[in-house]
Amino acid sequence: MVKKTQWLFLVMIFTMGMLLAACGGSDEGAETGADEGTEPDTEETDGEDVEDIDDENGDSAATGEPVEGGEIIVGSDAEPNGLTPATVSDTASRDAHDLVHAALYRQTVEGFDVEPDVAVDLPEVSEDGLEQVIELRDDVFFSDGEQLTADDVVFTVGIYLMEDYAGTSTTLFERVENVEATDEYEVTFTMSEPDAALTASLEQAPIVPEHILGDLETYAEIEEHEASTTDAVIGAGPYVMTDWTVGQYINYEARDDYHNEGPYIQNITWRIGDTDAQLAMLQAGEIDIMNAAPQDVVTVESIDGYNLAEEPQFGYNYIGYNQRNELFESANVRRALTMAINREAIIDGIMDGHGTVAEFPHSPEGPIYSDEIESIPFDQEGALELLAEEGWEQNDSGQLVNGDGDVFAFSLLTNSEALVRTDWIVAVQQMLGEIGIEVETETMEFGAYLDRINPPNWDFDAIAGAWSLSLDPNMESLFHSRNIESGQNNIAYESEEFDELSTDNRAILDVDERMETLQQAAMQVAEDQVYTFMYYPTEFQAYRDNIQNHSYNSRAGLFRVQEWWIEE
Amino acid sequence: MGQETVIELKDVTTSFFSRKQELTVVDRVSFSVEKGETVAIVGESGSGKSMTSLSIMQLVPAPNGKITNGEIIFNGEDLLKKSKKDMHKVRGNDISMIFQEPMSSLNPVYTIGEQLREQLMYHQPLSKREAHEKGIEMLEIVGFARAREMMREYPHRLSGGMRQRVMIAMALSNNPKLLIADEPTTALDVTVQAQILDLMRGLSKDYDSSIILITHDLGVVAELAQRVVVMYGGQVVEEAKIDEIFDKPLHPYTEGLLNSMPKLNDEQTRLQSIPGSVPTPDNFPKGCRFVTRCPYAMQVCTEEQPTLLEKETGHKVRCFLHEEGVGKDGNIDRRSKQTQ
Amino acid sequence: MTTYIIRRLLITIPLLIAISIITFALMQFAPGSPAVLDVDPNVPPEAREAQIEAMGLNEPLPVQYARWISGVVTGDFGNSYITKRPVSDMLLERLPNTLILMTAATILAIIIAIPIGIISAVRQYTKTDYAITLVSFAGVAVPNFWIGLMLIMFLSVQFGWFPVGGVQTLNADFNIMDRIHHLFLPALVLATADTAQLTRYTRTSMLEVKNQDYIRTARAKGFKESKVILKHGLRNALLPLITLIAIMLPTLIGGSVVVESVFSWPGLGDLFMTSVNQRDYPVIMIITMLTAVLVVIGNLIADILYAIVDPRIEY
Repeated sequence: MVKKTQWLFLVMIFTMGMLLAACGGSDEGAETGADEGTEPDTEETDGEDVEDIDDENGDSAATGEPVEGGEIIVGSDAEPNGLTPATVSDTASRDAHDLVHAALYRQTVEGFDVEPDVAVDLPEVSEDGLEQVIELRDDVFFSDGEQLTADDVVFTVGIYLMEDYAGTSTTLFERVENVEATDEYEVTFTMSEPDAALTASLEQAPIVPEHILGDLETYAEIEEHEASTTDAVIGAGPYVMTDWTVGQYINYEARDDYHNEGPYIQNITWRIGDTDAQLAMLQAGEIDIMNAAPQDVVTVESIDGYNLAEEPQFGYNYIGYNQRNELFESANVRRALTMAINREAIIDGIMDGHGTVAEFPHSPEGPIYSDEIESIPFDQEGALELLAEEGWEQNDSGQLVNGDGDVFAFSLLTNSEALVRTDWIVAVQQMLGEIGIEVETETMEFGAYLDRINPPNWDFDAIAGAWSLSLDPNMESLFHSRNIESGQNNIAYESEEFDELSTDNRAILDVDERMETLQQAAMQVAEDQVYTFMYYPTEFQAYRDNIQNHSYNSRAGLFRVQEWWIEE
Repeated sequence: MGQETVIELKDVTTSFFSRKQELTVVDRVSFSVEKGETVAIVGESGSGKSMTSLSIMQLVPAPNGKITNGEIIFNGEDLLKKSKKDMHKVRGNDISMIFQEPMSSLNPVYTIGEQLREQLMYHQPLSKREAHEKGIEMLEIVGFARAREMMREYPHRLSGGMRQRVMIAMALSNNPKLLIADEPTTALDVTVQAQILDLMRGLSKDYDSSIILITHDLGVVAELAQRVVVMYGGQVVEEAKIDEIFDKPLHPYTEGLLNSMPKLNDEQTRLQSIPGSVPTPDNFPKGCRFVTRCPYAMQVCTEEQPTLLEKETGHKVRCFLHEEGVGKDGNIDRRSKQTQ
Repeated sequence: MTTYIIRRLLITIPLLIAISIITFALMQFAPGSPAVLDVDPNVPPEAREAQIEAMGLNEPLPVQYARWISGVVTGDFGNSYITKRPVSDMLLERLPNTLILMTAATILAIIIAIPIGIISAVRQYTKTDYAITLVSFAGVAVPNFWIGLMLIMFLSVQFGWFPVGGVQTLNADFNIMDRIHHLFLPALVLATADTAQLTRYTRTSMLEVKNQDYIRTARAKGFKESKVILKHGLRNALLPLITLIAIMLPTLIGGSVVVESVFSWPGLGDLFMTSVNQRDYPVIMIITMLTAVLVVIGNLIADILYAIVDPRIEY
């Protein structure tokens, strides 16, 4: 018996040791990951510390012809909250209903742009931009056999415009005055103001069946309908949901009457389990695909039979400076703060190198990114010079003080669920401390955090946050002065230049011209450094190596899965 | 009285072992019980009488207690040589035992009936129904008027005397050849004591069973026993017929016990208790174990252990006062050369 | 007995009311508002107000409480803020899984702990006893999730003896052996702490009983040691354990929050975790209430069982 006990102890000590070793290992890895993060073209520079990565949009050595058949099991850490796109905004719901629904437009494989899906072509826009006509394909069917017609599109857009609409996409169709079916396969949008972002908005509004939900009069009824909450969902997408057993799995089956290429893989199963469980399932070979957290990359790479796809997140982390606080009034001060923070060290030290330094309020993958963006170097001397210009000098004890003897001190707030951010705000505290700035870090639960930073409280000095971006690179909601009182401009950034550039961008119907304007507006934000843009986090998806034509995009769980196939 | 010996103990020695030492609590005890005879083992607490009875049952608390020597001849067989399995057949069947604490000796969670039945069925090939009837019969024998109802009762609803009767019924249910009663009346009221004693006397007569009665109460002894074994410090110090013990006790300890017993006929005499108390096994004197309390202690008593000698037929005593060759000065003549 | 049970049930009513008030108050004073209200700050304040109005969150607290509790009493638990589905549906689809897990864990704890506790007591101060003591202390001290992860790592991932999680093989037909196969590890992990504790209690209780006079009586009756211990010792030793086992029930719910997450077990604990993360108040409150009710029921069952097995207790 004693021997058994000893053995048990040995096992315990051994396993603990392994855990410690694993932690140590990842730290080491972080030291070596040298990343030229400031280069916008991330796909090449990031390749250095991860070996078997696929090319960006996953034309992963597609050998041979597509094969029909097979099954994949996908790990998912959350359950969808609903399946009618208008009613939900979380990623689990989006990933789950993506397979079932089709929209007028979809994201291109090549980049962050849209292409027709159910629509025949891009809209025909009237000269004044107030009328957009979209022709629909006449070969699109819902999974219950009903044909998709203009009525379905009108109904779908109508949900967003319902009086009691309580979803999160209020701005998508705010310029739509009227939408009507002008023919069985033709929809006409009448706009209150021209809207160049309509196709991008439609990409986010997959079409739901009017013949199922059409009788419902309120948004609340739609939200609660079984087609929104159970596997009774009907859509025109590549797959049909055959079984959703709550808390356990969702089964999908390929449709043979899908209107675009594919689907090749016959069955898809979502298996619900937290990320640790998923990782174990991946190790045990029980699942074929999962999104891997950066800290699990080392583990995932060690598992045979899987590839790892890597993509910068379509979004960024930032520190936002509350303009209501006079400390942050000057652009020079804000720039100096950025210069005093070693963002590359944070990426390497805290994130194992899984990120790229950000300098700009939009993604390098997006259409308005410019190679000419100035990168702000890590330069604490330079930061001190800038601060000196603004009247802040270090005193004898190294504190940064102004003429009145006030110490440069502020609090940096973030939400406690964001484990990486809670780590790096401490690093920021230390880095700013090196030049005499006293930072107090604060973390709180997400709900409480939002209460603090959102209207009407705005009770913060600086926040560490993150935005994920939409396809349309319009940043009015974040930075336009009319979104200060209510809206996401909670740092109260007011810039005449930005307002002017962005106010009517949606009315610019020429795409190139509009993008140029938006780029200038974004440049203005970068110039003003009202945020310190921290980094674009890298995201990972592990997938079994028999999956062909895999593509990965952080805006979707299984991006274009209908075009994947399984090699025998 | 029959001449058939039911049980005979020969030099039975029982010790408790701790890491440091061996403590002998029963020291070379020998005596025997004839068929139909009631033998009382008398002594104060700590004299080893209860351990002697547990040794017979081989229920000395394990794992520290062990019978290290001797023979216990029962039915012509040495119980100490029997396997564990065979002992299970002896206990509760051939030899039964009742205990001092009737309040706690019955299991509180089972009915009287269950506790009676299980013992019957364990040792006899009886069906549950037969065992039940037999149980009722036993309860009637020990004097329960409503025996059938009693079978359904739980022990906590019974008085102490009733429980002791149940214990007796249980002990007798398999017609044991020997009943060991360890202070059967000590915990009971005086009136109840008398009832129980009556019951036992009647039973020993009716069934001709042999009884080993363990008690510190010489009054009880006088009521029941034919022969008395007096124990002190783990040893038998005197053994005699009941009359001889009461009339002419040989050992000073027996004398002391008798003096501490109230007598009906001379109420005037003050009760004398024996000064001091029984020494614990780790504290036994080198010589006679009673020497520290003995009014007649001599030099030799402190140096050497007396032996148990048969002074008269059937009357044994362990005392230098009665050993031949011990001078009045207490020096040993006969065996002086054996001492150091 | 019936009167006693009714009396006991009546006593629990004010208790449950108090618990419901506390639960409700805790939700109200928790920082932040329901998550559905804060997803998009783009929502104009009027729309947000309208939604708060629609959810009835503007009414005075006593009114809100009264509405909620009257719903609860009549079985209408309201709809989830997040999934918009009736909370009762969400509970019902998960409750069986949790009950299965808890029952299995309780059974495992009992069938492991009681024999081991008895062995430990019977062999008091032997090496066996020391080893059992050591392991059971470890069982109490080591957190559930760690044991769970280790078991998954070794037994499931390395050796492939057990599935990593879930209640059954994906897309397989119902198969009782498959269910048990999936149930074993989570039930074992959930049972760990209670097994360890129960072992200790069994040992203590058995040691106490071992020295009782009726055990000596049983030996004197000639019974084999196993019958002495199992028939006469065990039942008495189990009496105090019944209370303990009944009190274990609610701790199992607490444990199931962690275990269900680790093993992807779709039960109430898992739902609770999700709901807390999403601040889905209607669900959180009902699960909290349900736990409280289980505690009360557990205690009631303990008392009734105690009365059944211990004839000395009368009502």
